[in-house]
Amino acid sequence: MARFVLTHSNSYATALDWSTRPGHQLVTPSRLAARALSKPHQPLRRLAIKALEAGGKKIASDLTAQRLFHRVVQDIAQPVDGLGTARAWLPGVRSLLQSSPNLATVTAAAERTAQLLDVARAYQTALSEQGFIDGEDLYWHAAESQVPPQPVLIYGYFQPRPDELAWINALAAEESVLFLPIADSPLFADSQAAVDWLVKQGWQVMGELDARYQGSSGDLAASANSRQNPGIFALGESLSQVFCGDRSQGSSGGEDVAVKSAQNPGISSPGQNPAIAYAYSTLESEVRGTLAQVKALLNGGTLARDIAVVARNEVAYGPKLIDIAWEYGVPLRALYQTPLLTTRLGTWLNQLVDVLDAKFPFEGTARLLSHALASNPDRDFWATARRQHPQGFAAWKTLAQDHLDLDLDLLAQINQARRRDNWVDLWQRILGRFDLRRRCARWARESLAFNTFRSALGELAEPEAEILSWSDFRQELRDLLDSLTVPAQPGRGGIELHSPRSVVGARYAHVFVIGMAEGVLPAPIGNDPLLDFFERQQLRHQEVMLPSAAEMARREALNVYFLLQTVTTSVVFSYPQLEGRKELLHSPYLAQLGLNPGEPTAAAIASLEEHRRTTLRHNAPTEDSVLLAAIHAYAVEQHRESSAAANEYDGVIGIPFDYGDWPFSVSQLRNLGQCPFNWFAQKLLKLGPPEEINDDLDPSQIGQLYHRVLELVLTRWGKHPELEVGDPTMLHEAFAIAERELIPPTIPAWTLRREEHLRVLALALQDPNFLPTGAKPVLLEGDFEGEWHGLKVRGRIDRIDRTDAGLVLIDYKTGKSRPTGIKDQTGKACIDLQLPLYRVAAGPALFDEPVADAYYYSIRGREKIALSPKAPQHELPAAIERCKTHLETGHYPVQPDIERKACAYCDFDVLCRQGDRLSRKEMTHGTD
Amino acid sequence: MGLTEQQERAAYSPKSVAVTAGAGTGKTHMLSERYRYFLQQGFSPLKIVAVTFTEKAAAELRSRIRSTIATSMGDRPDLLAELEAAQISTFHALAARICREHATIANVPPDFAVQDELESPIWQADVFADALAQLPSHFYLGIPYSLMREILQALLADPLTAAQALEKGRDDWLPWVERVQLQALEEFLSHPDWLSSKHILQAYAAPGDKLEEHRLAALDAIALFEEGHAAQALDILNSLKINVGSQKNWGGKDVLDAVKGAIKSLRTLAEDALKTGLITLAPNVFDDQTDALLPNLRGAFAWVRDFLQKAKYQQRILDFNDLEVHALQALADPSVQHYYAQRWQVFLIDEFQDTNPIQGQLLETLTANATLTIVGDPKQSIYSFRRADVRVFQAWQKHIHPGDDPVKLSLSFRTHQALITQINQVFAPVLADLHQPLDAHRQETLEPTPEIQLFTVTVDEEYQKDKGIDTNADACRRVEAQKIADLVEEMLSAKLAVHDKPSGQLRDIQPKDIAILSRTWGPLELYGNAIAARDIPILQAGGGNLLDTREAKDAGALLRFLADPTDSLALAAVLRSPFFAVSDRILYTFAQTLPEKTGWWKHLRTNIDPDLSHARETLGELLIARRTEAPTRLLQLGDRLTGYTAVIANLPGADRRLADWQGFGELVRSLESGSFDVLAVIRRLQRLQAAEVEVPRPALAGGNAVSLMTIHGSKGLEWPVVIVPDLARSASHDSPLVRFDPELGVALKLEDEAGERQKSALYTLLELRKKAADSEESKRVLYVALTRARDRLILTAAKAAGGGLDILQPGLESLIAPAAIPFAPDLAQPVAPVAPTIPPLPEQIMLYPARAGFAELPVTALSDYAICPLRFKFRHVDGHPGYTSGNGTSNSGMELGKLTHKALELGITQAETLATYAPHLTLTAVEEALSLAQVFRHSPVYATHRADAMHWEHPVSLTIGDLTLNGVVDLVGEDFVLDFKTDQVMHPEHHQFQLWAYSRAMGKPNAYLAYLRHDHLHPFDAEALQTIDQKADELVEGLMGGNFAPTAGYHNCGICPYEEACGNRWAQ
Ligand code: SF4
Repeated sequence: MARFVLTHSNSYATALDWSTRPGHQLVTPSRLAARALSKPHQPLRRLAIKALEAGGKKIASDLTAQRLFHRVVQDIAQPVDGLGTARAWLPGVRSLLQSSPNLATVTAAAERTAQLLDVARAYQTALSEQGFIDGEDLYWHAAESQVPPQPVLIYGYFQPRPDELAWINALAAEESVLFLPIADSPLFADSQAAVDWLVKQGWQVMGELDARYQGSSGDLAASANSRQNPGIFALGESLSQVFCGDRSQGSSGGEDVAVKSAQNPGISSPGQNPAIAYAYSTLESEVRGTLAQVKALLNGGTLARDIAVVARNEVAYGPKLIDIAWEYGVPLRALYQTPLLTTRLGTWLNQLVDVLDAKFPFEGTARLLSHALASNPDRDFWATARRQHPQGFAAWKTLAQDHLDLDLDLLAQINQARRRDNWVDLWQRILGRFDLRRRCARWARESLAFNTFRSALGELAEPEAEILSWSDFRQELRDLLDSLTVPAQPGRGGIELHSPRSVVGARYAHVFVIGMAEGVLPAPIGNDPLLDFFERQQLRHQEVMLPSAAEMARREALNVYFLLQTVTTSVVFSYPQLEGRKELLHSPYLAQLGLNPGEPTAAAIASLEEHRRTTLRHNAPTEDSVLLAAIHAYAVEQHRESSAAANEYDGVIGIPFDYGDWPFSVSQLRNLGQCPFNWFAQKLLKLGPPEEINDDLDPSQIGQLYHRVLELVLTRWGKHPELEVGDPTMLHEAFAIAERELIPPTIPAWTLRREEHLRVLALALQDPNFLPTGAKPVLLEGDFEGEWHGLKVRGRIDRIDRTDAGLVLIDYKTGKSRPTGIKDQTGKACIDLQLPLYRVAAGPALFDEPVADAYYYSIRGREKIALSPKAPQHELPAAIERCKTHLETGHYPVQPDIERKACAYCDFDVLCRQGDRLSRKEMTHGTD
Repeated sequence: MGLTEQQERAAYSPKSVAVTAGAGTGKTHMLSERYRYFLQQGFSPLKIVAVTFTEKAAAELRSRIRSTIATSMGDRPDLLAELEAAQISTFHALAARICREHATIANVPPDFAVQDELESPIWQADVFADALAQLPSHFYLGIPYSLMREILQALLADPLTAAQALEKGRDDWLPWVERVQLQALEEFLSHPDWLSSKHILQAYAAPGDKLEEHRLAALDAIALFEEGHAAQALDILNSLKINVGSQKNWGGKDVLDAVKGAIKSLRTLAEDALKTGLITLAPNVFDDQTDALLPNLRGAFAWVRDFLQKAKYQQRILDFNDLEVHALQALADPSVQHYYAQRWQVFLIDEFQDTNPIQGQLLETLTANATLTIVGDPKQSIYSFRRADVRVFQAWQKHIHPGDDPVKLSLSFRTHQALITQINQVFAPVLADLHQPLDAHRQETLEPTPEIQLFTVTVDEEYQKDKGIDTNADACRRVEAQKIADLVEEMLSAKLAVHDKPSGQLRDIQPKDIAILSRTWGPLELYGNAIAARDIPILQAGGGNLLDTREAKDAGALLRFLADPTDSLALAAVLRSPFFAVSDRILYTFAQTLPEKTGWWKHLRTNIDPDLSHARETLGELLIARRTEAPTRLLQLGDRLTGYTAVIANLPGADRRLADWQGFGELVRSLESGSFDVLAVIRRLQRLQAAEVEVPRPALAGGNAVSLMTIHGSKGLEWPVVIVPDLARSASHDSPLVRFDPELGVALKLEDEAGERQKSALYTLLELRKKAADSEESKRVLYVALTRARDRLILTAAKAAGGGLDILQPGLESLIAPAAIPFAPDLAQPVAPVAPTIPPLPEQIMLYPARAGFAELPVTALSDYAICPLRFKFRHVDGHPGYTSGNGTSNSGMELGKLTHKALELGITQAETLATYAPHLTLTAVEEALSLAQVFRHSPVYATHRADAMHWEHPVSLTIGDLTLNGVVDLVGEDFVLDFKTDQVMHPEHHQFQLWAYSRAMGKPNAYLAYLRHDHLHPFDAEALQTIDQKADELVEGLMGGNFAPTAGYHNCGICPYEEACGNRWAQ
């Protein structure tokens, strides 16, 4: 009796045959491979763990492994950044463990490698002291574990590593069979080496033409099976041969299997053309195109289990696929694992740690507490926070208590050293306080994340009595969030998204290989930063079998080879020419398969959304109320975009506004005169930006500060005319009052910045133009009301001076330029509004004296700014009439001045939809 | 394809070689041949490093090399395999590798991540603000806060250069200032106008005439000037008058005019000289002030830089700049140098003209003993804004070829001979020393002969004078756009013959053969619109800020509202937008009924206006979804409920709009990562806006369309016809507060007494240099643009002179006569955009969701389904682990059960041993598990089953139709299957399907439940099992059909772990 290696390049048929014979336990790397043989799934790994456990050892949990490893690295290498180094080194050390059963005798010339080996050995020792091994050491240990061999049928382990081989060799009893396909291609060099090794261990090879062992029953079974199950000699087998360079397979591989070549990229409906390649324009269209074909198959009765979507970079495709699948109603399942930091819970906890560290800053805490994991969005918590701008623990504690019924007291206790178990206990309580388990229960994945996190947290409690500072413990928390994972999409059912590696040994009627792009498939072979290929070469001499560059490249190619073998009926390859802004070339594998990616044929419509996009202008009767709404919206938007005059969707409501009693302020009139829609939005729709206190000062706050300081200084000077206006003490006192009134205490670096503002004000006060000799302020920041051009107006004037010539009206400007005026006939915002209004309405309303002058005074520029001589002030009455017409006719088109100065500081851009479209609209003055 | 002689010289040189590769001269081909050459010399791909500047170029190079080797070295599969691991990458990837491999020496966190382009500026802005706030106050001495902020910001944008510049002082720049001043003086004095004016003024005199005064004054000034009092003299010259003087006194009009002319030219000269300030350039008080500030600036810079670096280290991130800086740091260490010298022996570096000085240094250390191949074209160096410096290339060329000349590739495979001759002629005088004439490989006959054409807009005086007609630059540009559209249309309808590159044959021109390349994105939209209006497909690849697009604003408003329903403005924007298209009349009426201090949403919720009901319901639905769905999904849902994308897909520019919508979705995806919270996304969007980050718009996919792109974007590409528009636009110059140069120092514009910003002398010098460099680069940019053309080159401008036209003037002058584009008011009107063509309805329309179906399920799934299909869905479809309240671990009952099984399976009898299988269970729980196991081991109830046990923990699967049920039977005997239960309460009916499945799968007629807690054995006999057969079939049918309707009820919901997540739970 013997053990057999079966090297048939097409192993499936033989495996199927063997699997029906009694007496073997089937061993497969994946559920999918087991499913292909209709047998339960039993992986090598599980058997190895059993063997290990029988010997009383266990695999260390990730957390334990990481902690031990960190300690070892710290002890041996004493790096500056222990944690980072441990993280960066662990993969390298693990590949070392995998590569050799015994590292004890290995020496290295390079210092760094020697150190790495030291770490690896010390790590092994540290683990074994606690009865553990590292997961990557599993097979070597299992191979030495003295388990009784069993008769096994090993299928799907087509590229066994040395450690796997060792375990297979130990596990397999007489009569066992290992499938290790070999075809006539240099790609199989490593497989051949594996076979050679097995032969040395006494295995017998049974090759393609070697029918010795295929007894009569086997023959019958195989042919019977092939009749019942057309999938046996399927497309995949011939494709994989083509992939290896055997062109003859193209036409003679199976019944009617043919690889359609470049000239005929084929028809869109899948199943008609067994192998097609498509070049989609974008990643989005690739995903849509692929899922549309999938949907067509499903609708045609194909079972989800018979279809697979395969991507080398499944993580990159996952989210997009899931989204479009949602739109299409195609059940899709992404199976890869994703770190806790990509879940709500993980991100939230991470944010919590950040907030604790930064002592409850506004932005971070606001996001933390308004998150669905902490609050109920209906309670307008955010709106309150935005208005109050709390910072620091105390402020937030009050707010959370008042608005979320949440007591934050536990979080105040963070900054101290504690025993490990107390830390863990505190955090368990924090989780409880925020009721996270229940809040996570809304999502399957978050629930899993919670369970994962919580049980890992428990593990942190040991050794209980160890004292940790917050920063130590914080690091461990962060580490957890970084290293723990949950499935991207838990659950089951639907079309599965796989990587080429994960489908080895499986069987699918239809496979869609997406992302066939240069640089993606084959993925460039990464270079381990610690054990690069040069170093690996050196270590080979000592039987440390770390895979070489060429080996890894062959592995990658063989994964595709075996992926091809899974297909029974049709396969569609595709790649996007554009991914975001990145241009992609197609994968060299396509050429290897004799395929030239063609343009996909017009896609089917696979969702209601796509249907609406296509049919909106078809004028077909429809019952889709959303489509009807969209048709309306389209007409509205089309009108807005066109050169047609504004209508009721563009500010022209046609409802007169009775302005008789309406008090207009200067800025209202300016808005109306600059862009009627602006006034409409603000005053009639009663809209404005949401109230919010900012972290930083905005220019208007600085303006207020300046105004207030000048007011205070002049008031005081009025009482002490003996002093200079620019008297520094007076200024400083005034400044101190004003800043207390107006500057929030939380403004960063205010003590530094105030100096600058003080200087500006000091210079202004010293400027002779500020208060010309002979002028005496008689009014500071005074309110007035009056009538002007038949409008009721009111406002506040900064200053009125009395001079020999008469009253002088002054408006302060922080900056150096005049305020933007209202529109003249040609639409330029150049008619000054404010000074004329002051002259007529403010002066006389407050003092019964003649007005001699009115001007702006620039505080920063330290100069008087009079009306521009070019300003067409004679047009003012007409401009005001236009404003009135707007009001009388309910006509508020989106019509800013031609230079769009009005838009520069306008909050309504998002509302008014201004933009290029306005250049096509004719300027209307009040009426159409 | 073979190699030309020139290419061969480069490709097969045994030594290092520097190659100047003109546009289209086949350098990638040469490089892949060179790669092959080295392989043939016995180098492994692992020993060869190839560096390019973009990922695209790296991918292309790898692909080219792979196919070269595959076809010509088929007998070396090992090399082909190793190639996949070869370092063929961008510069950044190379630097990143060095940092990773030598983290400690490079002083980077060993597990650093590279920050992306969006995150980086936000992060930088945040941390920078912190740094400024914490900067020790003594640094602020003499430097106001806002100035400090601006200066540091500018310096930190290029920290290495800044650090060097800060070390410089007056000694370093003073000689340069003097040199520049002298040079300006010399130029002034030798200016022909100066000489001739002087001559004229000396030749005539008219004593007594009014003008005579000015003549004399001018002569005095000239003397003064020549004596070295330049400033004074210029002031005098600048104030001379010529509106006086009589012909009579001067003896005729000619003389008078000559004298006036002379004075005028002097005045102009003086005016110009005063404006540039070079002749009088000398250190001024602002230089002194800068000198005084320097120590504090240095300190502050170092402090802040350090602060940022520490923050980065802590967060384990680096940005793109850091990679180079730290790689350089690592390479300063001899051990690192040795490490790479051992590994890398051959370097191929492409686009070397784009190397910056730091990269230059980096390469210098890396390649000290290696064989080098550097390829570049100084004429195509257009990345100075990324600090690329052609001088690096020039220095390396000299270094590699000390004795001989670098190899030149000058045979263009791209451009036709006729055209290349013209291009040579244009650029010979423009590029001067840099120029390298090209030859053409393509000499075939083409009708009409390839050539350059030039069109400029001219405005009749009549129009110019007419105030009612807008003839400003924008209007002229619209006329230019019409002309371009005409030209494109003509070429297409005339079926102009072009040379098809792949086939080498002539064929009719198509839209994709034409490209419009402009210096900036700005005007492209205009040209695109004009062409699109003729029904010619266009492709504007991108440009502009995604956040400024209407689609992004609409989607952003929706998210804003969902994040904060009290944001009435966002709500109103959503209502007005194509999401709902509510009219302003309705909104007005609505707003009129708004109670005081009430937000729109609060009011809308209770509003009964039927015109608003669609919006009210939809938004309500979205707000509910907001609790569980990610922002990206909310956008999708918003589209589904309103048909938003159906609207934009039918508006003009539909492709662009849809791409922007999708692009915004992708942006949201990157912003939501992890938190999936709308508010977080909105806040980060606001941060992006505040930090003025340009979020690039997604590119549009090709197709057969006229391309519109920037010249920078066109690098490496080619088209049969290239149009370079907008040539008259003059470059804008910025005037930052601070300028710095690694060799000269840091210069500032500081406030004078009057608060005006004034330039220091060094500032003027640096400004001058910058302008000179800019104008040199402008030439190269034009060179790149013009050499993209294969056959035809069309230049257009909205004016007759200015900008690029002026630059090309010396070359165009005698070669091409500009054709006029006459201005006409109707051509200057904005073009109405055209709607996309109405798409036909495809044959296949699939509107309804497809069935899910399952391949495999655990056997327990049937039991779940039997209890409540929705519960089944939660557990098996969604993979929800369920919710149990309280503080225990997720499900201690289940854990305990598992442990009992483990004890039984492995025959464990010791609590300590068992405990290791459940480290987080308490010891009591472990003991309980053990005692439950003992029940089975000892109780007489199970005696026969113990005796007949054949397999423990036996995996089984049962296939029913398309479904496979998998499970593990606890115990299999001769004629029975048995399952242990540790439940508190016995509900055998809950497990009937499980046991049924086991018995059917194993073919055993009997099944038992062993309730260990109750020491009770519950049997299912053959008959009982048979009755389950049919029920089971029904269940399977139901679940495969996707029927998940809940069966809520007191009992079912009471024990359901999904109560929390379930919207259908039973209520009293
Ligand atoms: S953004 Fe401009 S057009 Fe729009 S409302 Fe404001 S001012 Fe008017």
